[in-house]
Amino acid sequence: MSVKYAGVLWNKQKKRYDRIIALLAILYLMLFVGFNILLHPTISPEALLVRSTATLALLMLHVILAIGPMARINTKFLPLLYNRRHLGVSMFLVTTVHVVFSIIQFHSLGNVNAFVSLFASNTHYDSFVNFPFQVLGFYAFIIFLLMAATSHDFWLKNLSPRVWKSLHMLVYIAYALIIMHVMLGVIQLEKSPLLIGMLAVGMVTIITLHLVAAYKTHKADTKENEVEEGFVLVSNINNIKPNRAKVVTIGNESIAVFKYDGKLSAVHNACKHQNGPLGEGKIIDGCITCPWHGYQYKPQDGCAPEPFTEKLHTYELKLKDGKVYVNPMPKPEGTYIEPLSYE
Amino acid sequence: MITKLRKRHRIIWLVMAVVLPLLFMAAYMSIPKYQLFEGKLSNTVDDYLITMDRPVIVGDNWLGGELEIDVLRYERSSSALVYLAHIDKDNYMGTAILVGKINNRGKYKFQIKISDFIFSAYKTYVVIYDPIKQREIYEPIQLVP
Repeated sequence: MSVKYAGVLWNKQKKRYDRIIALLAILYLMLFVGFNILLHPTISPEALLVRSTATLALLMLHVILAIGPMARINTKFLPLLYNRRHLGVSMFLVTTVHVVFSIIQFHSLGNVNAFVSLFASNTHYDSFVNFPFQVLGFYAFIIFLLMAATSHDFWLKNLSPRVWKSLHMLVYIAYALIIMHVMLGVIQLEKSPLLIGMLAVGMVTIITLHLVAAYKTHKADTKENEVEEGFVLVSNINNIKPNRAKVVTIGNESIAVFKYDGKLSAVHNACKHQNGPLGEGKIIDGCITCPWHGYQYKPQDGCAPEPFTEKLHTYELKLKDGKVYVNPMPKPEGTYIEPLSYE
Repeated sequence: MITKLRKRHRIIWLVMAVVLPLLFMAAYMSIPKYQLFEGKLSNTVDDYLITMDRPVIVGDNWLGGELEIDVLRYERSSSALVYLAHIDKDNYMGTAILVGKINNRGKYKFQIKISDFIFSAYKTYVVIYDPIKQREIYEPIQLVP
């Protein structure tokens, strides 16, 4: 969270995380190159570069797509979610190396423009098997380019969270394009059982994780809650951990009830930054802290601490027989509500 | 995530869970056992030295042997497929069979047994083909036993 835009938002934790990404990427590239030279001594450096970056980018894309649902299924994975943006940009950089060298290698030695060659050298657009698979990869790359270019709070603020999120959800289209880029490309020529098997396992894993996470959240969202004089039951107070929240969904609205310092407060569950799930975050330095990018809000009035200006809706609470109830009618954003003391 | 966003995610992944495995399986089932070659003529040979050791010839028919391709230079394509074609070099569309793949400078040897096709000993050609651009890298090279 910052009052001004910086090129890259780095803190101690993100620097450590980025170093780990870089080390693992280098280790993977070294292992890939080493094994391939051992198994295929005649392989060219160009082919090694194109293939090592392709497989690394594919692996990184699977990890990126797994982080979101894993964090929904188990909150232990939330720190990965907090650092996902840097992993995404790193994946884009690796993909760029693959794309640039592939175009040089396969399309720049002819007498037509390399980009014209990319789209015109194979014109079997009406065929499934002979479909120009490189074009699929190129379109996925354009999506990654747009995502990486806008992976910054400047764009999030100026595009609006809604447009920004819609743009970044194109990653699912890009994933489908990449799967078919591989299946209609290298798999058709080489028939590698290892590559087919790994790709199938990766695809099934990603789909399963997303469906399990979706089922879990849908079940919680559609749960019927007990109503007491216009107030909706949230939970037994003992079920809310200190400095954490319990989330209740009423209609289309999601409310996070936080327990801290012997008090309870309720705010709207969506962070103003990127609609992150505030209820999955925790209280740090007296403020609700979003698990996605660390945006903070005071629990009693939903206002971000000065000099920030973001404000959330707040909600009235009541406590009866050890049960916490919330009034689902939101107060205007930034309205102070006396925290409910339970001690 | 807000509820509407969760719903969008749920719908997207339900669709993906159906469509993506279907496309994956369709692509998998389409992997060819061997490929009939269909292409066009272009260029001349100057980067490849092609020899045939121990050719098996019965009458006028060539039935197999060891095909060796020495890639002397490697500038026109990073990956090429090698086909054998017959009839004559201007008219081989649909008659060629896939022999193998060459990647880099060096010598490549392919053991060939022709059982499904009868190749004339005097009219067998090697076609070096770029699968990405879908065209020949060189004019078909005649094998003279």
